[in-house]
Amino acid sequence: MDTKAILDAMADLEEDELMEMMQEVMDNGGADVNDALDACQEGMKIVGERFEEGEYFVGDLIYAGEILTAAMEIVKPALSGDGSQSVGKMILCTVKDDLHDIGKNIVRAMLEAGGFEVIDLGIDVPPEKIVETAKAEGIKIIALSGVLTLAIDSMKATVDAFKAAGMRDDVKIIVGGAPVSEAACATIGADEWAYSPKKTVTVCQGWAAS
Amino acid sequence: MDKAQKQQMKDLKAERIRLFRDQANFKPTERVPHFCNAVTWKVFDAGESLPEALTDFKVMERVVRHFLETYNVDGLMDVGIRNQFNVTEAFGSEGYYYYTEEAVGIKDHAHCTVDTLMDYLEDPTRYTWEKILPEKYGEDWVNKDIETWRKVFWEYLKYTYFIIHMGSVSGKEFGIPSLAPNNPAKGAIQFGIEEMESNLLGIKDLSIALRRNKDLIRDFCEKWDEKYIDPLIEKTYLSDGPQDDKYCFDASIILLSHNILNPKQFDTFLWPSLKRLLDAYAFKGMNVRIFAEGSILRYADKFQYYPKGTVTMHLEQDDPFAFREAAPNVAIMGGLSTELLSGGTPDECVAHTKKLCDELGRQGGFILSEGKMLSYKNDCTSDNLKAICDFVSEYKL
Repeated sequence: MDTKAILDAMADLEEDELMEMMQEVMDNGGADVNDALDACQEGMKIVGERFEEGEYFVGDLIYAGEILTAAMEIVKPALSGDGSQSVGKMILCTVKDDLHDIGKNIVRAMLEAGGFEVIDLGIDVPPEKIVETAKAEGIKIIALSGVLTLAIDSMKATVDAFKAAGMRDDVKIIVGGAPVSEAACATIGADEWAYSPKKTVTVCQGWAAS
Repeated sequence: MDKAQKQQMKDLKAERIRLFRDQANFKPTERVPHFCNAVTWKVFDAGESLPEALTDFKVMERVVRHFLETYNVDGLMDVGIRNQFNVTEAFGSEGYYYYTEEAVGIKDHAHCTVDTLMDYLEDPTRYTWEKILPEKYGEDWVNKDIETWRKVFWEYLKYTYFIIHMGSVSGKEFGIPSLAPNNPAKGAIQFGIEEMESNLLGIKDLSIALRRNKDLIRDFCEKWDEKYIDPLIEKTYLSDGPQDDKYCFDASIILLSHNILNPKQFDTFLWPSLKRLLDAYAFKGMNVRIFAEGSILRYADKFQYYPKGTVTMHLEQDDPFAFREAAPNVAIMGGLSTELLSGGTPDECVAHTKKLCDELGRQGGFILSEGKMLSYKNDCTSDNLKAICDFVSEYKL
């Protein structure tokens, strides 16, 4: 298996080549599956860098997420299932009163490529559901997405719901999306805010490691 | 209104059109005009219920009147005619939209797959009849009883009357001019790639198709141009040129797809069509307003090569000062961010507006506007908008 070729195919968004190589991993018994996935993750990092540099844009990130998911599907049977690749589990969702999911889905793909097991609660998610899930699953990292200015209220309501549940100090909360800024982050009471998927991944990885 | 008042409003409207046109043409004016990008925010501001305003013309008219009586704007993007749902609801279906007390929006949907794109283009009416309408209203939509159809047509007539009525209210009673004429070739000016993103495939499927089905997407864009853009270009070259006394702009275009296209894709799928149309407007000395959703700063240089007075870029999220630097020949519409309008103080709003007028408008080339449509209750505060309107209507350049 040529991990460099897998990395390049992912970074260059060469879907056919990537799928062929992932299938090869399976045809050879699947022993190299973890190395292949690591190469995909490295390739996704380059996708993120090319996005930051302006070579790729939103459509490319959506496509990258799509082919990464397809690649993982191919090798899934060879994964041990013990979560050994995961750097941690986290919650991601679009907050209440907001139905936008394009940005959230891009961030999800990048987080998964960054080693997270993401519990995606979907769109228009009320604070109680996020708190309940965090409690039930023992989640420590929460990422909230939104596009409308209404989302700021919902993000604040979510932070307040964690406070009311006595869990605020147990979780780290990052917010992102069009209306989010440093000032909005302070109003919401979140721990961090992000303007790009790459920053979200970096911040969450830092939290997971600490 | 007596005769003198009517004449006063007529003169005011003409004066406002002149202000918009002069700024768009980089001619210094005595003040900067303000084309307000307020949509459903008006409903919350008037203290009305959103569901009622979207389904009751009388409520929406009250909303628009309240807005125009309260805020001294020179232009208004929506005079209450967007988001009216009576026609669709008369069909007994809620369609793809939703509305609550807080928000109105469209549910994610796409009319085509990559396999049916060309079927749509071949015969849009047939495709709409056989595929889109059954999906929207159910398979038996054509079998609705006669009473339902009568109700639908009645609501459609009422809506048409409402559009004319609100145009008249805003123009004759408040001196508000119309933004731009309708495109004579096809309602709104829409490029093939835009139609695929907004209606036919949606953002996700188009993003994937741009890579997986590149030839098909290119083919669609070319055929779309033949059908819709080429006739428009021909009509533009044959037209009498600018319509200075009727509208603020000679044409209006909305762009969205540049937000997903990488530079190579932009050059392949959008720019060739857009450029040919802009060439025609430039040749005729006409002015086009382009509303660029999201950010278009990275493509600013493309528009720089047109002479002043051809393109006015309405910026949704880009920094207007950065855009002016990147494309000094392009007039700018915008400058007011949601962050400022919702989170700033009236003093901060006035200070920012003054800076915009001084630095971007003194030599012409600037029209004040809100970047994002004011849609939700938190998008702006009344005090901030009032402060801006009072300032900009009085501030002499």
